Parts: sequence; C-alpha cells; structure tokens
Amino acid sequence: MTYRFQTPLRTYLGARRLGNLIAVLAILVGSLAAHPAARAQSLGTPSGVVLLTVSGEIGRTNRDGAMVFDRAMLKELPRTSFTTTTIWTEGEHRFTGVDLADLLDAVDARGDTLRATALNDYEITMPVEEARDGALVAYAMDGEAMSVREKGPLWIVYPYDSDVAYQSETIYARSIWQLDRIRIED
Amino acid sequence: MPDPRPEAPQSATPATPMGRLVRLLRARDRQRAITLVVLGFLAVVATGTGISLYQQLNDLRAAPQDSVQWSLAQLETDLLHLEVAIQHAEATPGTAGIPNVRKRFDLFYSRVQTIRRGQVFADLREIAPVGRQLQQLQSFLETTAPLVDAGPEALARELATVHQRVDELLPVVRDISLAGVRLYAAKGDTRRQNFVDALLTATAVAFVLILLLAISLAVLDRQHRVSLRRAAEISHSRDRLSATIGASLDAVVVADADGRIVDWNGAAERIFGYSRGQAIGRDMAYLIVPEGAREQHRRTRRRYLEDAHRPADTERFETHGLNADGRPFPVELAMGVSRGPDGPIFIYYLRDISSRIAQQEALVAARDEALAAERAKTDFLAVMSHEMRTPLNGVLGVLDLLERTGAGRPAAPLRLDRGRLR
Repeated sequence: MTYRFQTPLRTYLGARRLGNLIAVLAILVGSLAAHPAARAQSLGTPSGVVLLTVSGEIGRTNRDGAMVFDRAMLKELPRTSFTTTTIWTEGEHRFTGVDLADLLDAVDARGDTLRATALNDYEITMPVEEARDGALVAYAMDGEAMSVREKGPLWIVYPYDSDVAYQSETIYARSIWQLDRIRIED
Repeated sequence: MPDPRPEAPQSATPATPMGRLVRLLRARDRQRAITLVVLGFLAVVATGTGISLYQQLNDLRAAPQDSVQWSLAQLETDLLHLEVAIQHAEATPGTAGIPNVRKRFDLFYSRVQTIRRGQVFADLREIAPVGRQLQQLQSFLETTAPLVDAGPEALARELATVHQRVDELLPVVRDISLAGVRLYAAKGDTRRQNFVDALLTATAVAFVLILLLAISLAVLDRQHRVSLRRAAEISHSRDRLSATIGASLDAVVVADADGRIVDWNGAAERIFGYSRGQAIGRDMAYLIVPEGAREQHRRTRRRYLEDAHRPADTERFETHGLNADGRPFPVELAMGVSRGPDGPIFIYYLRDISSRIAQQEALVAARDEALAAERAKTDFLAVMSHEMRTPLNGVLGVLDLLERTGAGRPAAPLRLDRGRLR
C-alpha cells in the first residue's frame, strides 16, 4: 500500500536513503583509509626539508628503505597537543605534534626497540610499547615552529604535569630534543 | 515493713568508699588524658614524618639530577664541538664546513637557553658569578647570531672572529660547569642527609609505636586473662547458685520487673506441676497466683517498682498458690528483690504448707473430739448420780426404818455406809 505510487516525495526519500548508504560507506572507507597502514601509503614523499628519518623494521618506506618526513607530512598525521611545563623551559607551553604511537603506526613499525637520535648525536633507546605511552613528537610550541636554537625542529615531550610517572629520570632522558632520526630495531 | 537495719551501715560509712571511688575515677581520667596526649603527640609526629618522607620521596622520584648534570656537562661539550667545527671549516676551502658550524652554533645556543631558562637550573643561576657568566654567554650568542645567520660566505669571512670569541668563552663555560658540580653535589648531599634524617625519625616513631603496641598488647592480654578468670569465677558462682536453688526444698521463682518468670527451680516444678520449660517466660500472676490473691500480688510488686530504694520485706506470710490442676493450695511466701540495670528482679520463696495445715486441722479436730468425750462422761456421771439417788432414797428410808424398829433382823446385819453412796 505504501509503495503503490512512486511519488516524487518517495523518489526523493529513496534517493536520500541511497545517499545515507553512500555516506555510511564513505565513512567506512574513510575509517579504513584512516587505518594506519592504509594511511601511510597516502603519505607520499617529502617536498620540503626533511625533518625526520624513520628507518629499520618498518613496513612503509618512501626513500632508500626509510620513511622520511617533512613538516607538511608530519602535519598530515593525527594531531595531538597538550599544555605542560618542562624542567628545561620556563612557564607553561602548549606542544603540538604527532603522538609517537601514531607515528609508529604510520610507518608500520614492526620492531621492539626504538632508537632515537638527535642532531647532536644524543641518543636514547626504549621499548616500542613504552614509546606508545604518551610521548609526543612535537613540531610546534605555542603554535610556532621550533628552530634548532629552541630545541626544534622536533622534540619528544611528555605531559609531565599530568602525572608524576612522567617526572622520572628515565622520562626526562627520553625527552629528546632536536630529534633527527628514529630507528626501529628488533 | 522496711527494715531499718540495712540502711544503717550505708548511711554510717558513705564518705570513705565514695571518696576512694572518686579518687580512683580521677586517677583513671588523668591516666587516660596522659595516654591520649602521648598518643596524639605520636600521631602528629608520625603524620609529619610521613608527609615529609612522602614529599622527599616525590622529590627524589621527580628530581632530574642526572639530566641536570648531563646538560651542564654538555654545555662545554657543545662549545668544544662548535670550536672543532670552526677549525674544520677554517681548514676546508670554500664554504663546505659552514653548515656544520651553523648547526653546532645552533645546538650550543639551544643548550645555553636551556640553562638560562630551565626551572631546574634556577638555583644555579642564583649563584652570582654563574649569573654573570651566563649573561656573558648570552651576549656572545646575541652578537654572533647575526654573523651566523648572514649566510655561508659572510660567516666564512667572520670565522676568525667567531673562533676568537669561542676561545674566550671556553674558561667561562668550564667555570659554570664546575660551579654546577659543586652546587648539585652539595644539594645531593643535603637531600640525602634530609632523607636519611627523615628515615631515622620514621624509624624512631615506628619503634615507639611498636613499643606502645607491645605495651597495649600486654595490657590487653592481662585484661583478657583477668576477664577470663572473672568469667570462670562468675560461671563457678552461678553453678553454685543454681545448685543451691535447684536443691532447695522450697520453690524458688524468679520474675523480672514485668512479672515474667525468668527462673523456676525443681521444687517449683514439684509444687506447682509446671515444668521449667513451661513456666519460663509466663506471667507469674496468671500462672501460680489464684484469682483472689492477684491484686495483693500486684500491689506488692508495684510498691517495689515505684520506690527504687525500698528494701525487701523479710517477713514470711501465708497466702495461696495455684497449681497446674487449677487448685488453690496454701503456701508460705518470702520475697527478695535484686536491683539490676534492667530494673528489679523479684525472687519468691514458696513453701507448700497444705500438709501442715491439714495436720493442724486434724489436731484441732482430735482435741475437740477429746474435749467432747470428756464432757459426755461428766454429764453421764451427773445424770447417773442424780438418777441413782432418787430410787436409793426410798431404799435408805426403808432400811433406816428397819434398823430403828429392829424387825426382821438378818443373821448378818447389812451395813451400808451412807457416805459411799453420796
């Protein structure tokens, strides 16, 4: 009875239902695309100055068996930010960047150990699962890009103020500034 | 009838025991107050120590000691790296070595900012020469940065100037590092000493607390033993009491303030015909007091309930009880009152006196019977003597006549003494 006549309204409704379906599909595809592995493929190659090189046991590469990032590519990754003080600066600062976990997902990290090295060859290693615990690869402080003279361009920071667990010597040592390269090892 | 005797000793010696009790209470209060003060003091000390320990632990956990020392040591290293980069650039033709100089300059710049701004270096900056030296570093950075930022060729031309400034800075940087080592070593010592002190205090407090705990445990144990002994004594005396009551020939009935039976001995079972189980909890006035005596029973109880200090009557009196068959029978009753926290408890001693009454009645009957028999005999004799005298008078008259006349005198004269017949 309801479907006896194909009125314009019903056509419109049908079209809307189809539209909804398409929208749902689009969201599904989008969320699939948002999956780290799928997303990494769409990162492409850097067009600007390379800020970070990730190498080692990773599933996605874009140059010479490594994944290199410029600022634009990093900004395409899921953005995380928090406000905290640090023991090396004065006052509170808002740090914006990529959660290290998201970065590891983006390069499809497969190893167990993360070795991060700074411009001055300061180097730290940490288990990959611990690297996924709150560390932020910050590319901006208070909304501004950081120069090398201000511990930039990349700085691994933790939300130190949010938990005393982030105020340990180990975490301070892992807070590597002027981050240059990351190597994922077994 | 209140017996005046129990009151006399109470009113005669009230001061001594009462005074002693008050003194005891006061002494106990003082002891308690002292205990409370000591405990309070210990609690404050323990809390203070705990808080201080917690803070110091937090400080220890959060203190970026190693990071600070590292950063200070790196200050000199970074400057030396810059110098090496400059020397390398000077030795290299063209501007090939310049980017490395720039990088090393930037890293040194960053390091100086960390020490100039970082929270953890605040106390280092407060040392007067260090503050001045840091200012010196900053002015080097500010004057040199334009040269570094001017471009590779310009920097290449000014390398010698930069090199000279770096050389001048080296002893300054070394002084800062050394000042840092001195400061943080002293701070570390103080921190450790404070921590050790706090730990020692905590240990002392814990020791005192353990001691107190041990003492209170000992006191508790003593009290436990005393109470055990007392419980045994009480149980013993209760056993003795119940044996006494159980063996009593008189019925012993104990009732509470509401008249409910709370105890009922073997003699009561025999006399009234209710078992202990049947009697306990029942209203005494309805169970064993005949209807005629209930009002009297209630009045007596009420008198004790209204006057809390009324001493118990010690008189015995006779009344009637009601047995399980519903038959009233005479009893002799004595009553005691015991006052407890839940009100008075009434203790009734009842003796079945029906056999005694029966014996008394039999005795009275026997006496009455004996008296009646005696009276009957007397009456009989009186009647008999009266009745006998009347016919004998005739006989005596005839005999008198015969004697006087002498007619018909028998062979053996009959002598009759008048006196015997009277």
